[in-house]
This record gives sequence, structure tokens and C-alpha cells, in this order.
Amino acid sequence: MSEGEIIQGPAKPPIDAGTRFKLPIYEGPLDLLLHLIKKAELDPQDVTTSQITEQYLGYVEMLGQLNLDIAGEYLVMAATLLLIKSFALLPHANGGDQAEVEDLRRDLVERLLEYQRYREAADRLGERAIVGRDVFTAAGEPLAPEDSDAPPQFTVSLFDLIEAMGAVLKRLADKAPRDIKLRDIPVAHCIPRIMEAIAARTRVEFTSLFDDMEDRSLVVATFIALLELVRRRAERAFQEVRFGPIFLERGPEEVGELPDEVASLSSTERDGG
Amino acid sequence: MDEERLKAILESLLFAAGEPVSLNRLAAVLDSVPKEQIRDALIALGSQYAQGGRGLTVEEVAGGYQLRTRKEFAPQIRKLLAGKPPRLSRSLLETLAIVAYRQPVTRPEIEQVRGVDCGGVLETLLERRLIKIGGRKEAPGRPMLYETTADFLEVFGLKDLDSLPDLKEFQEIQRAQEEAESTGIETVTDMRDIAVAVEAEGAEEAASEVIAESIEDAAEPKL
Repeated sequence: MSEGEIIQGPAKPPIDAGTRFKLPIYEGPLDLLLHLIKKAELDPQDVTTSQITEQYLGYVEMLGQLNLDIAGEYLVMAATLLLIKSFALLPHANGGDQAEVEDLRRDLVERLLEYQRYREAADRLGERAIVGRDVFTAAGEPLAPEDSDAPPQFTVSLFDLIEAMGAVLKRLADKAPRDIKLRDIPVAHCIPRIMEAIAARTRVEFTSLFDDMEDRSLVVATFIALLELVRRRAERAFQEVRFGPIFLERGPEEVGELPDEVASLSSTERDGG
Repeated sequence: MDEERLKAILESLLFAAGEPVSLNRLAAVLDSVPKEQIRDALIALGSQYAQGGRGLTVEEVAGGYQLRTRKEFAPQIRKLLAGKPPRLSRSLLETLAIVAYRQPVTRPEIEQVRGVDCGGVLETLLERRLIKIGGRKEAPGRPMLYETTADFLEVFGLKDLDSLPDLKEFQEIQRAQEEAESTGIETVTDMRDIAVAVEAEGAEEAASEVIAESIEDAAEPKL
């Protein structure tokens, strides 16, 4: 039995003591404001009326008293509302600031309206017939790979990969720092990172795998790991256009256990060659 | 090929497939049959299910066709199956709606709309394969761009992204619904009355099933 089912049992309280509370019901300051506006039978245009401001501040204060973890966004919104209110109370403040505050108010109204549109869109989505909740499908078998009308895919050879690697290394060389540190990065450590980067059903361009890497040892170790994954068919390398960019996607096989000769490899052993 | 046989083959193909099957794929399997004829046969199969009051429907989702159970039997099916229904929280649906309508979209753009941190929700959506990373935006920091997946269309029963209702229409939809509610209240009360009547007579079966039948039989009490 999974943990979730235990929690759902009738005798158990829904939340364990010690759980950090998320703000109840409201999904953030905009959601809270919309709720208050609706309750007061007002329009989002009226967000800065003192009635709404006071209720909003009261709610935030109440959360503080209940020792709930108040997200910073609620406080930022409180400050905005107070600023607008203070200017409303001081009508003779200089004209330039008044215009700024009016901008602030208009921005807030626009954000509320936009958020409201997406919230309604979310409600519509939630009301649809959802697979696994309202409708069910046959478990079935996965389809065979499409061959006829999919864009043609060309299998990439080892030499194509090495060539692409050359371009990545050249980019690194262009901006490499002068002091060269020799780091020992085990190839085995790179494999989970690659598998994570190339999530199921997505494809990743070969060069983007190395985008965030500055360290030559890391690039080399990652490349060796990638070659191993492609060899094991845990990843697949292909091109849609000959000599075009190389893409990677999950292959049909699992990674499995690494043989010792690969697991023990590290970047320094290959770096020179 | 005669239509009955074509319908039977299509039915078996859709039953065996674990995902929506596009018209192109069906045509590739049934090589000599024109696509028009396949489409007609699928529509005929669907209306046959509907007219026969059967448990399945033929739906056009995620660019393909799929056999699905009828929505009204969800309570019985859920009792039978081990899995729990997917949890679709407010924050998850809101974030998903923003990705669906604004894709490709970055995390800061989503957070600007919602006014709260969305990191955790985006993780969940990625895990559930409702969204994916489509690339990076050519902007400072090269933030990742999120977009919806084919799974999203399938789970929410959408034919394609164009079948998402227009955002601007929502106010109108809401108004229309409010109007419909004021005229629809009577029907709802009737259904409740039937349920009460049926329960009073000692029927323990799932009320929804009985209600459905009762309505079809012009509200004649069963038993």
C-alpha cells in the first residue's frame, strides 16, 4: 500500500503535524484579491478601494498570527496597496508621483484581469473529461515507430558525433581560462545527468548538452558517457537533415549496469588524446 | 472492403493501441483503403456505439482516434481499478493553462501572471509529461521554454491546440452558462427527485446508472 492511501484513510488527519502549511485556499496575492473583490461584489477595477485593501491586510495579518509561512509575494502586494492608499489620502502630493501611482493602479488592475482570464481557462480545463478520472482508455501496446510520413531521420555515425564534439571543444578553447586545472571526473557520474537532460519523449540538440559547461574535463567525460549510452541504445542520435544539427532522444533500451572498464574511466585518462 | 468489415478492423486497431492513432497511421495499416472511407467508417462506428447505448466512444484526440469509456461509468470503473484519479490542483491547472495558451513560455513569464513561485508545479507537470521543455529563449540567461505535449491533448481530450477555447470568449461563456443555469435548475431538481424516489424504494445500485436509465425511459421508476 502506498503512503498516499494511508493518509487518505478515514481515521487519519489529512495533514501531519509538522507539515509546513501552504496558504490555505488562495493561490497567491492575486487569487486572494480576486476572492475579496468577488465577495464584495465589486469589479477588478475597484481593487484599490480601501475596503479591499483593509480586508487584504487583515487576511495577511491573520496569517501572521496563525504562524503560517507568509510568502513574500503577499507582502509585496500589501506594500503596493498601501502605497496606492496613502496617495489617495494625500490628494495634494505633487503631480508626478500621482501619475506614477495611477500607473501602479492600472498595472495591478491589468494583472488581475489577465490572471482572472487564465484562472477561468484553468477551470475549463479541469471540467473536461479527463483520462484516468472521467474516461478511461485501453492500456494497449505502444505503436511501432512511424516510418512513412514522419520527417526522415538519418542515423548519425560515430564520426559525425566526434566531429560535432570538435565544434564544442573549439568553442570551449575560444573562451577557456588560461590556468588549466586537471580535474578527474568519473564518466559514470555523467550518465544520470545526460539521462536527466534528455527526458523521455523529448529531444535535445547535441551541442545544447554542453551549453552550461565551461570545464573541458567535464565536457570530455560527458561525451564519453554519451558515446556509451548511444552504444547501449539507451540514447539515440539522429539528424533530420543530412549534415544538419544532431539531435538526441531516449533510445529503446535501459541504461543497465556499467561494465567495469567504463565505470572506472575518467576524463583525465582521455583528456590528452 | 465493405464497411462492416472496415469498422471491425478499425475497432480492433483502436482497442489494441495504447495511444490515439492518426488517420495517416490507420491508412498505412489498411493500405488500399482511402482515408475518406476510413474517416467515414470511424464516424459510423462512433454513432453505432452511441445509438446502441454502449460503454465506449470513439474520440478524436491528440491528432488521432481513440476508444474511450463513457464518462458516466467513471464511478464504477474507478471502483474496479487500482490507480487513483490524477490529482489536478488549482495551481497545477492554472500553470498548465498558462503554458497551453502562451506556449512557448518561460517560468518568469508564468510567475508574472500567477504572482507566485511556480517551480514546484512546473516540476510536477514535467514529471507527468503534460508539458516539456521545447528549447531555450534567446534572452539573458537563456531561460527554458515550456510547451504542452501530445499527452496533454490526450489527457484533456483535445483534438489539437486550436481546439482550446478562445481565451477572450470566457466572459461570454460565463454569461451563457449563467443564463443556462437559470433555465436548467428545473432539470437538476427533477434528477434529484428521481434519485430520492429510487433510493426510497430500496434500490442500492449506483444512482447515476439508474438515473440515466430513468431519464431515457421518460422518468418511469424502475424495479
